[in-house]
Amino acid sequence: MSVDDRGKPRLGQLVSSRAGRDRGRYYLVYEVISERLVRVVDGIVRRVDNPKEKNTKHLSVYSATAVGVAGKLASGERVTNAEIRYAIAELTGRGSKLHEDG
Amino acid sequence: MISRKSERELSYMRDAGRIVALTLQELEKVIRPGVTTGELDALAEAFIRQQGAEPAFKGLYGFPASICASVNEQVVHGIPGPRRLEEGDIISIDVGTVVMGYYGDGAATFAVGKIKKEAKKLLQVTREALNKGIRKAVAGNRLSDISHAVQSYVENHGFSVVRDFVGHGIGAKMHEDPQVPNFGPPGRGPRLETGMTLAIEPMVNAGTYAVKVLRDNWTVVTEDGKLSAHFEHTVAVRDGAAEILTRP
Repeated sequence: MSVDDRGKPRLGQLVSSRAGRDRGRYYLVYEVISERLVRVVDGIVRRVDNPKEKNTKHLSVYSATAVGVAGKLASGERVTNAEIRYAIAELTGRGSKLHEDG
Repeated sequence: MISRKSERELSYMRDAGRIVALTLQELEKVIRPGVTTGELDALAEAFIRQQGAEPAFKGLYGFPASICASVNEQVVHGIPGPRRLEEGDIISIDVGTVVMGYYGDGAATFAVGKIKKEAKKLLQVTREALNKGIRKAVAGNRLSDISHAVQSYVENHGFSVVRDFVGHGIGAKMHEDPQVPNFGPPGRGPRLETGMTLAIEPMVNAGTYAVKVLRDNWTVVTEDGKLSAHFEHTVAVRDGAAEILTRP
């Protein structure tokens, strides 16, 4: 019988802040420190050189994952802020608007 | 913490595993169109008890039956009931047993009558993915070498591996450390040592890897409704080659 591993944040996974002054903001999981604690980035305010530490209790975890970003993070490759922004826009359905704005 | 089992503990797990394998063999004999998943469960429970073991799933986290029976788009944790199998279905049966306080856990996916070519391929690829994973369960390797072997084999054949549910350590409990995912880069995680016991269980979807859980809070189904297959063995890490504990 397999183990239910849902609800725990994984690299590249889309999350949003449920508590704190950044409440409502979308991020990708950049680093998993423990089951409780992760570092997240959005490529705008929280960039890859300055990720935000969040308690997972204070995050909504979505099933959507930025697969490309997740792969790079898992293999230790560098991910750019632009890639993060693009991935979040895609996953939150704001991708087309992003294109229109150029 | 990942525990390493003594030879005595391993001998109990071998007994538990053998009864898992025999139960799957018994069920395979009766799986055909018209049989209900509830009948399979009753048969499994009687057989397990007759062999001198206890069914491990019954009551575990509140699960109501002795086997998980997951048909077609159901991935794992299907609850046996009045559903009648139909020609062309595939059904994953997951069985757990306890002997002297030690657990065995194994699963296989069976064809009901004649199944489509694509379904046949899904079963073959999933079974082989399990073998690829088991081959990496040797002392000196890293845990994620297993994960990576499963994922790359499955994806090379055009299928996807489920992320939300994972394999696990097993022994004096059904679920022990570590988790054994079926995806990820190689060379990560704890180093495998002889005597560690793992339940390796690729869940492979014909379409997307996304899954959801039905309102019964148990049955996991593919989000796109496409077929899913599941094979599982309990293995002991050894030098050179893993020992499969769930064999007849």
